[in-house]
Amino acid sequence: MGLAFLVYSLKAYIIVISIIMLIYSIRHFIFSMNRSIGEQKLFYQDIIDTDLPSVTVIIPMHNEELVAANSLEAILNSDYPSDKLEIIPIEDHSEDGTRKILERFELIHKNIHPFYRSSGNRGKPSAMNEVLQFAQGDVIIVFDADYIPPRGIIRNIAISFLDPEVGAVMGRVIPINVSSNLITRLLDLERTGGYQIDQQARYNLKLIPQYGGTVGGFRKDVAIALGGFNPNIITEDTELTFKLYARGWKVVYANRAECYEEAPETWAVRSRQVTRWARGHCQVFFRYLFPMLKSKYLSFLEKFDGILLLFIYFIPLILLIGIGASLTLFFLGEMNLFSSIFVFIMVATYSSFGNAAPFYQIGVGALLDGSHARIRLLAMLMFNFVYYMWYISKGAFHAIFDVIFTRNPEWQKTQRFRKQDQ
Amino acid sequence: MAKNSKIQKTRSIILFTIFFCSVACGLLAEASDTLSSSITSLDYLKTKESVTEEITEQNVVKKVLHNLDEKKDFNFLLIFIIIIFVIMLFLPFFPAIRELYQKKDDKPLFVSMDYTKDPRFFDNSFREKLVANVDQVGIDRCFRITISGKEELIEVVEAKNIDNFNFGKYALYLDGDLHMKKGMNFSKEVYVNGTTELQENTKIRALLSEKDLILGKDCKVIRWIGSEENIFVGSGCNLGVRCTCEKELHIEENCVFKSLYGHPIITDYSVQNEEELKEIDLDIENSEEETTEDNLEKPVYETITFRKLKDDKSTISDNSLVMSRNELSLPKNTEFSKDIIVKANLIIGSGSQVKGTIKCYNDVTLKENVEIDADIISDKNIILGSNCRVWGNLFCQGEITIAPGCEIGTEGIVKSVIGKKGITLEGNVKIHGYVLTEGKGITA
Repeated sequence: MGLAFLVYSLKAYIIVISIIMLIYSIRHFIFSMNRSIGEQKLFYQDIIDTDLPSVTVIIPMHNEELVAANSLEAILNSDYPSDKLEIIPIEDHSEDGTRKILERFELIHKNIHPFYRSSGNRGKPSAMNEVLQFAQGDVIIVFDADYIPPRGIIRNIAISFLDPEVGAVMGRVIPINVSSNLITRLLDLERTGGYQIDQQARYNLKLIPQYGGTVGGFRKDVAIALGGFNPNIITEDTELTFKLYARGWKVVYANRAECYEEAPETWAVRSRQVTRWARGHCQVFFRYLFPMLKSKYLSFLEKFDGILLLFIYFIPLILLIGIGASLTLFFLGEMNLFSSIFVFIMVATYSSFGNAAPFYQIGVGALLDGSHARIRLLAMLMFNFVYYMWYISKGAFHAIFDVIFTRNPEWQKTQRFRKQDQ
Repeated sequence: MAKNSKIQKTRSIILFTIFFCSVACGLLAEASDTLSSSITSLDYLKTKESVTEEITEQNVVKKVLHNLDEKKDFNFLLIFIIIIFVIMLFLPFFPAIRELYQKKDDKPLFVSMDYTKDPRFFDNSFREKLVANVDQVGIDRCFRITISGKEELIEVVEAKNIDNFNFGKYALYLDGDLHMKKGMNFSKEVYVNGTTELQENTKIRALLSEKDLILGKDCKVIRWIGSEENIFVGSGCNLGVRCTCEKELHIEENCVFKSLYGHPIITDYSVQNEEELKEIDLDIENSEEETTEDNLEKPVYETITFRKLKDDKSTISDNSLVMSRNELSLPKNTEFSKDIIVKANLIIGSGSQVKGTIKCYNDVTLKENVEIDADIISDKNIILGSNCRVWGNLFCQGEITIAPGCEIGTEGIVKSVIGKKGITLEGNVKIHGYVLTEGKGITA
C-alpha cells in the first residue's frame, strides 16, 4: 500500500515537473521567436533632449583597489552634462588601498563625492540606503566597481525616465574577459541569451524585464518612498524590480546601454555567485509573490510572467528531485507512466526542448550579435546545467531555511580577477 | 584553494555522470522494452501463419524474420542502437571542442566606448578629417582619409571648375561656392567649402556644405546631407538617411526623409488651396470694421481633477495618475496638471492645457489648439491637430501626424519627434531639434 502510494506520488511529481518545464520551454521559445521575427519595441535612447534629469552615479566598492581607478575614469569621460552629474563611490569597510584612490580622485574632480563607511552593516543594500538620503540626483545610476561604462551610457539610461511610468532601467552587461577560459566563454553565452533575447523580448512583449542592480538606474524618490533596499535580501535588484511592479511602476530594458563587466574565472567563484543569486531570488519569491499577484496595476500576462520569473531559481531543485524520482521509479520497475511511447516522447521532449530551450535563446542571441562561431560551444552548456543544478538548489534550500528559521544572510562580494592597471 | 577546486571538479564530474547515466538508462530501458514487445508480437504472428495469407505486408515481415536467429539479432540490434545513441549524444561536442582549440570567436563583443548620441557626429567627423588634411595638400591635389571604414581618395578642386570635372571616381573637396546644373549625379562624398546650390533632379550620395545648402525640386540623396548653416529643400526631394544642419532647415511639400535635425525644422508651405484663400480674403474685407479686441473670445479653462475623470484610476506617485481600461476623453478647454498614464486611447479636446507628461498605451489624439507642457509618449500613434503647441518630446511606437501650425519644442532647447513607423509633417510645422523614423517620413 505504502509502496503503491510512493509510486503514484513520484509519477505524479514527474508529470507535474514535465508540465512546468514545458511552460518554461514555450516561454523561451516565444522569446526567441519574438527576437527573431517579432516586432521590436523602440527604446528611448534616440531621444535628444537638452532637458536631461540630474543623475547621481553610485559605485559601491569593497576592496576594489584593482579596478576603482578604471571605473571612475570611464565615468568621468561621460558625455553627460557635468552640472547634472554627481558621482558617489561608496568605500564600504575596505581594507586595501581603495580609500586612498578615492581621496585622490576627490581632490581633482569636484563632482566626485566619495562616501566612506566603516560602521554599520556591510553590504550594497545598506550602503545604498545611506547614500539615497543625501544624493542630489533625481535618477540614481549604479555601476559595480569592475565595470567600465562607455561614454554615452549614462545618457542612454537617464533619458528613459522621461517616461513617467518608468521606475527603473536595466542596460546590457557584456563580459570583457571572454577569452580567459571555458567558464568565461560559457558565461558570455549565458549573458547573450539572458540580455539580447530574454530581457529584450520581455521588454518587447510588455512583460517583466528585470532590474539587475548594475548598469542600470532607478528613480531616487520612488526608491525612498518604497522603503529603500532591504538589507536582509541579498539580491536587492530583484527585490526592487518586484517592489516597483507591485506598485504600478515599470522596469524597461535598454539593449543599447552596453557595458563591460568582469565574469568569474573559476568555477568556485561562480558557484558562490550563483548560490547567492539563487538564495536572494528565492527570498524575493517568498516576500513578493502575493503582493505581485494582488497588484491592481499588473495585467494577467505580467503576473504570469512574474510568477515564472520568481520561480525560476527553484527549477534546478525540482529537477534534481525529479531525477531522484525517475531513478527510484526505474529501480522499482515502474517507469511506465501512461505507456512506453508516451514516456519516450516525454523524455525526448524534455531533453530536447526543456533542456535546450535556453539554447534557443543563446543561439538566436549570438546570431543577432553577429557572433557565429561561439554558437558551437552550446553543447558545453550541459556542464553548466548540471553544475548549476547543485549550487542553485543549494541556494534555494538556504532561502527555504531562511524563511523557516528567520535567518538573515550575510552579503558577499564576487572576487575580482583583473590585474592592476588592466 | 587548489584542493577546493579539485573537489569542485570531482563533484561536477560525478553529478554529470549520474545525470548522463540516468538519462541513458531511461532511454535504453524504453528501447529494450519496445523491442521486446515487437519480438513478442512477431512470435505470435509466426504461430498464426496458417490463419491467413492475404495480408502481404505481414507475410514479407514473417518471411524475413523467419530466416533470422531472433535472439542473436536482437542483441546486435541493441548494440547498434546504443552505438548510434552514443555517437549522437557526443556529436554536438565535436564542434565545441574544435572551437575551444581554434578560438575563432573568443573576443568580447565590440562596445564603442566613445559612442555619443550626436545627430551631427558623422558630418563633424567628416569635416574634421577633411579640413585637417586639405591645408597640407592645397588645390588640385589629393589625399586619403577613411570614411565608414573604407579608405577614400579625396580630390581638392575649385568649385567654379566643377562643370568640366569627371564625377564618380573620387570624393571631392570643393573650394568656394558651388552652383550646379540640373540633373547632376554625385556618386561619392562631397564637401563644399562655401554655399551649395543644386538644381532640380540632382542625385547626391553624401554632401556637406560649409554654408547654406539649397536643394532644387526632386533631388535625391542616397545617404546624407548636412550644412554648417541653413538648408533649403525644394518639393519632392528624397532626403536619404539624414539631413542635418546647425541652423534652420526649411522643407517644402512632398519630401521624404528618415532623420532631420535643425534649429528649427520648418515645413515651408501652406496647405490651403487658392479657393479657400480667396474666401478668407473676402471675410477679412467685410468684417474688418467690426472686429475689435473686445469681441475676441478667450477660452475659459476648466481645471480637471482626477475625481472628475470617470474611470478606474489610481496614483503611483504624487505626480502621476494612472487611468486604465476605457478610452479617456478630456473635454474642450480643460486644464490638467499631472502626468497621466492611460492604458487605452486618449483624446484631448481643443483648447486644453496639460501640464504633465502623457503616457498612453494606445493612440493619443490632440484636437486643435492644445498645449502640452511636457512629453507625449505612446505605444501606438500620436495625432496632433492644427496649431497645437508641445514643449516636450513626441515619442511613439507607431506613426506621428502633425497638422499645420503646430510647434514642438522651443528656441534654444532641443527636443525630438520620434515615430517608429512613420512621421507626417503638414505645412507650417515647426520643430526645434530632431526628427527620426524607421519607417517613412513625409511632408504632406
